[in-house]
Amino acid sequence: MKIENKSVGIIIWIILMVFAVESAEAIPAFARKYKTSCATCHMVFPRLTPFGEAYRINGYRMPEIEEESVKEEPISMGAEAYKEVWPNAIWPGNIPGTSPVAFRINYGFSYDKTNTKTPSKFTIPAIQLFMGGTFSDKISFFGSVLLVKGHNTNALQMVSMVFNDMFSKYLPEHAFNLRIGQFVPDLTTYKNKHRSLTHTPYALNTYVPAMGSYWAPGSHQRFGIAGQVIGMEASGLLTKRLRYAIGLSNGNALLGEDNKGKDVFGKVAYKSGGMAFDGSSVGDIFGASADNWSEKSITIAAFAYYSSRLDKDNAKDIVLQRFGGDVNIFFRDLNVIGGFITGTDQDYFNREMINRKYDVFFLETNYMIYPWLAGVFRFEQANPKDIDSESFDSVSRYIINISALYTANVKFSIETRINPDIPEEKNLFIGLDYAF
Amino acid sequence: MRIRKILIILFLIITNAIIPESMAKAESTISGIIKARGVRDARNVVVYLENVEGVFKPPEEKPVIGQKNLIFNPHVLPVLVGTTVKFPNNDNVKHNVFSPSKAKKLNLGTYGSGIVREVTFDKLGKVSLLCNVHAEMSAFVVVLENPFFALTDTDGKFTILGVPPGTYTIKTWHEKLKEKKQEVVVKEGETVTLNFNLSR
Repeated sequence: MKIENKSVGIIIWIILMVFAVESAEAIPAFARKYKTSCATCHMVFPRLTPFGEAYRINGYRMPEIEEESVKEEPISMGAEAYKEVWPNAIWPGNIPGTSPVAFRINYGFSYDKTNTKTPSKFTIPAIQLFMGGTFSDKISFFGSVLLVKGHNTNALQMVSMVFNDMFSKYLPEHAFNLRIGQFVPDLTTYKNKHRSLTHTPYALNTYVPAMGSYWAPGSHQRFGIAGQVIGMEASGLLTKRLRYAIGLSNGNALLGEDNKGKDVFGKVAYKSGGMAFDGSSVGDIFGASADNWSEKSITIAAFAYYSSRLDKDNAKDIVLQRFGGDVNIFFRDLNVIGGFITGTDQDYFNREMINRKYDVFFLETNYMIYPWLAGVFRFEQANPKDIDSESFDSVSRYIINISALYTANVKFSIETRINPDIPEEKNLFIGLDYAF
Repeated sequence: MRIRKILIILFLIITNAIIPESMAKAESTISGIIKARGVRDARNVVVYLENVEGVFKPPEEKPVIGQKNLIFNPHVLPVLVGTTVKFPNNDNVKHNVFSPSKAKKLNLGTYGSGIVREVTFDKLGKVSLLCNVHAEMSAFVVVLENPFFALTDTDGKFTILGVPPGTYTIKTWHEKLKEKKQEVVVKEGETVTLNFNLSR
């Protein structure tokens, strides 16, 4: 299928904006804590069910039923009654009763006809270590380290602590949470390829304006908003179905931004139907279905990101601005998600300041054929707009993926990318992904 | 005259002794089930009555909160105001018992195995008990105005026995769950069933 009129495509899909199925920050350590299956929070991992999303938003605690759900008793750092003694005693808390770590390993086999040197190869395994849990009913933590992947060993991806339900005496429940550390901003669905159902990362993360292409290994000039930042982020529920997040950071952690300017970002999202963000629901949201993703809902979100970075080559600060939104629609076994980003990058070209403007969007449909089998179809397009001194054509592609769970924590997938502008491009990826 | 008085007294004694049990005032009971959401189970909910007329003497037998295996046992103890509670150290290590609560600020000091210390709880309210040697230990004494109370079991069941007829307020207390109350009317010899749904 070829979309001949990209404007029509944009108009059709612009209304589809995604939020909910965001970062898959549930890990096997949580499965051990509650002695429950990965399927409690995940459809095909890492994609979250509505309940899994509510679990994440609730600070990695079961909404409303945390205490009775925990099977591994935490280690008490002080009885609750010590709250009455404070400030003459340490405020009480606890640490996880079991080691709160988990591993995820993925590798596979790839074939790329355009790579004449090595068209086919077994890919280098990636091993991630995750850690996550709670220290009390108000503090939670999450982190991940990429232990081994090619030459990038021991890369710290995320490590953050969240103070949940702050000022709860004065504010409604879940109104204000504060995350501090290195993390991916809570803005979009397509932040990190390790949370995607597809092997191919989202173009919104990887598109390189300077190259006019989706991927330029080693390039830092990607269009997408920062993968990980170092800073703080406030988020919460204004109502059960209205979420917000605002943050302040140094900027892209991987770039090691060190200018005095700070990045600022914010988002708001609204969900209609299905399970609310706090895990509550009215009536039987799954209907006659036994499947815990099978709700009818639509979530729309909008975000903005402002970044000030140091261009080291020219020793000057450059500004990057992004606006975007996403939609996530659940209709029983069908999940349609879509998002777009539009923005402007200042850049230097031949020692002169230029502005690169782009919009990038995608539309993805996921269908749960069986509880263990998901089909994914994604269309992506990047459209250069007003560029001062260079011009690139729009690029688009399709990604088709079938993911199958052998067990809840072992997944096989097969995937191909189709580039309508380069029909001779043929590629295939067969992946194995497991976590414990 | 004297003989008449003796005969009247004898008559009263005999009639009181042989009055059939069924003609004596029948006791009333309040029972029910607590359903609790947000905690592991529904045990240790204190269910109690307020506004019961009468003067109630604390029991002579002193209830006990022991310290064994680094745990206070029982975890929750409801008592009538004025009751004296014993705190024996049944462990092989030293323990301390103190409370920051307004209803009874106390500190029994640190004491060793086999020693028993006592506290009289003379104000209404909840008293949190802690050990400053072992921060994870805690217990609660709930001091109440009358003896008509019960503590739920693991299934949330409770029974309050011997309730005099009348209209009362029945309330719940739990260390983590929100308090709830209802009005209850108790008739003579009746068993009233009342249930509560508690949450955080």
